[in-house]
Amino acid sequence: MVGLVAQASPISLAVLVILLLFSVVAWAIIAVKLAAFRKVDRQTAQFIQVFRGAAKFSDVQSVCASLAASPLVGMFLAGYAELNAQLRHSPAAGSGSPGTAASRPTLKSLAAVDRALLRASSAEVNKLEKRVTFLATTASITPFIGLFGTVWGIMSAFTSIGAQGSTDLSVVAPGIAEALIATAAGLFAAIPAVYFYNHLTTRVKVYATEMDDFALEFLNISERNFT
Amino acid sequence: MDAVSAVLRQRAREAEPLGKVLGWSLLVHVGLTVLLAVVPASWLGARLAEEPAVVMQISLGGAVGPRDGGLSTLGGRPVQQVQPVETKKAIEAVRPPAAKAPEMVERTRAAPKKQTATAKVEAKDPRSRTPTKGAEVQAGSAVAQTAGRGQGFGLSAGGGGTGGYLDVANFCCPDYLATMVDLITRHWSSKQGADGTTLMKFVIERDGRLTNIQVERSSGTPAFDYYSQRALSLTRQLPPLPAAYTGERLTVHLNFDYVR
Repeated sequence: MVGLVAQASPISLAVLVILLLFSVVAWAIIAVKLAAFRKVDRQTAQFIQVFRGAAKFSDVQSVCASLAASPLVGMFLAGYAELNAQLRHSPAAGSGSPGTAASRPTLKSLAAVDRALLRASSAEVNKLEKRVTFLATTASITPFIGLFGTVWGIMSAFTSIGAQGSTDLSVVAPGIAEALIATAAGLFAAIPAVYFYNHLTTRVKVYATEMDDFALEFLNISERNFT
Repeated sequence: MDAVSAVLRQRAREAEPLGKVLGWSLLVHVGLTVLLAVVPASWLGARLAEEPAVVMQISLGGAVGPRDGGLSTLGGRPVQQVQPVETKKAIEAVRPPAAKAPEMVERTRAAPKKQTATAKVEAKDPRSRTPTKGAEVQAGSAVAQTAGRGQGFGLSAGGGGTGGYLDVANFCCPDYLATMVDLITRHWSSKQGADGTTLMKFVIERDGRLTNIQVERSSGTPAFDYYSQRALSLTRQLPPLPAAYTGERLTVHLNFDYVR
């Protein structure tokens, strides 16, 4: 193995180094994303529990800082900010004394809250999907880079065979074996990238449906209490 | 800027840092690469070119045949036997019996045939040999039951070979093999009080040293295996491989036959 790589041409070496870099970055992203998603799973479950148990939105807001990894926190904060903005400017909040049924604050527009949740939802999905696209790039590019290295290696191997004027297997084989390492390295980088790209995007989809579900729940509560 | 945008911007700023993990990933990759380079090639499935692949097997004692069943490699000699005379029989078509001529009619006599001139010329030809036919002793190819028994290995002209074989397609020098067998049998005797066969495998180096001696197929009796191994170990040194043989080493599979 050492001998094969040591006598490789500069182009083959460059191909191998590029593939190594791709693999390094891809695995780093995989590790970071897996850790982050595990955190997201845990904190989302906690947040849902708090959200359903709390009597007031302000109670929920107090735990948001500690559960920041969950995408639902982002949606809640956005929806709560919109609610606050609307209630602060409503006439009921300004004039009447709070606590009485007549002076209960009302929303001007529930659709605006919905839009705020939608904005937050897409922002959160973007955040979850950040860097995952690099895995797709790695998966599709690295086999080609490896193939390029192999083709180049075989080309130079045949050139040297022609120069030596011998088709003996001991002349042909090492060059081709050296060239094939590039394809192997390309596949080595690509296969985990494909697997984890599919894995991570599927999980993002699951989070997206959870977020849609949460948006509807938030709207329901808002409508029940503030209209 | 409204409150919602502020929240979104704040959220977008919190991202997972990649730098530290990138370092770890690089470390692991470099480690794996070094491991791949250090690991012996055989672990990765490469075959080391220590022994040549078996292209063809050459038996030391005739073709590798069935077990000899009483015929020994040395005992199986060609014997002479009577060759049966070939007789040609003309095939006659089935015909109805010829009609008999009536008695009264006088028999017609065929005119005597004149001898042709060519027959005389043939008889006079002094160079022609008289064709012979009949019982004649010729060399046969049958194997006779001589109740003799060879040493278990050896070079013989006929019989079912049970000797051994080489791992090369064309070994040049049978003389060398004869010498090898001769030298090995100096440290060995087939009469050990029980029957059995041990197939040994060993390598003759270029300089004639015996190396890599191992039991390839055990006889089932450890003592025999050990005795065969001992014979090879005691032999230790053979003449250098003949110059006509170009290989670096010669792998030999040799049967050690034991008899009561």
